[in-house]
Amino acid sequence: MPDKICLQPCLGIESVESTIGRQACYLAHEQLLGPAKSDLGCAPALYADVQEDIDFIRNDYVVAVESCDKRCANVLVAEKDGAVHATVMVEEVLAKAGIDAKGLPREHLPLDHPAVKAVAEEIARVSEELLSKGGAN
Amino acid sequence: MSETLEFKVAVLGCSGIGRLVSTVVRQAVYMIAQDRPKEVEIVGAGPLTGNVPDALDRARKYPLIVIDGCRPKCATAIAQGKDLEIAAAIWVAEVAAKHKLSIAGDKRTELSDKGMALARAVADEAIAKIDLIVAEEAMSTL
Repeated sequence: MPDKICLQPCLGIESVESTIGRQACYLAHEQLLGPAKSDLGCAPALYADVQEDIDFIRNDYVVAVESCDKRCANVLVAEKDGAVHATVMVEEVLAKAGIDAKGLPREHLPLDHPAVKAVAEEIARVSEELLSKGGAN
Repeated sequence: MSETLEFKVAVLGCSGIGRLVSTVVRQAVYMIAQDRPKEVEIVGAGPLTGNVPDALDRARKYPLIVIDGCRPKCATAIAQGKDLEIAAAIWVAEVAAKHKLSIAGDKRTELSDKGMALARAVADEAIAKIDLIVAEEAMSTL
């Protein structure tokens, strides 16, 4: 049974939601879950068959972090014969938290921004649930 | 720059997450978009790996510049894997060496002035190539 989570963000670049998702993965990986419980899955590297990223989706529970309904992280993981165990939709988390992303800069948001924190906390919650239940959600 | 409406240059940065250089590439792409808004079409690595038709169409429609961060050169791999023709490629390590810029000690979560200086240099290299491609196209129609 996996003992780590692969955080797999879509890594788009055109929308602020993709920036929020990316930064949230850093916050979840570096602080909330920690590197002992999580790995950062890199979409371009996974596409390029970098072994480390292949290993992440084979050995870890995979939590996809999607910035829109095209669900690019899910598509890529499936294409690489992996399984996504849970998906965090950035727009849904922001709506639930009452955060309007319109007007936020897509270039960068700090890790302590409320939008980043809200998504990171949801990633951590879902991840902890997977680790505690053994992926049966 | 001139008012170019139909002809553009597509830019694909690796936009990875694991390494510091991927954050440099991401910031460089935003600088390019800001400095050449009419000439450039930004194409995300995420939508390409997710097979989003609109992203694939835009990458195929225009000459494509790829910007690679670390050694696997994943932006190039994506372009090749999706049968996209690469007009020019930029590798961050080459730009860092050329300009003698170091980003050691910087953070991938938030670049300092050092990281942003390298992003600026990468953006400028790309913009020089974009301007050349646009000028060549303009000359070819005269």
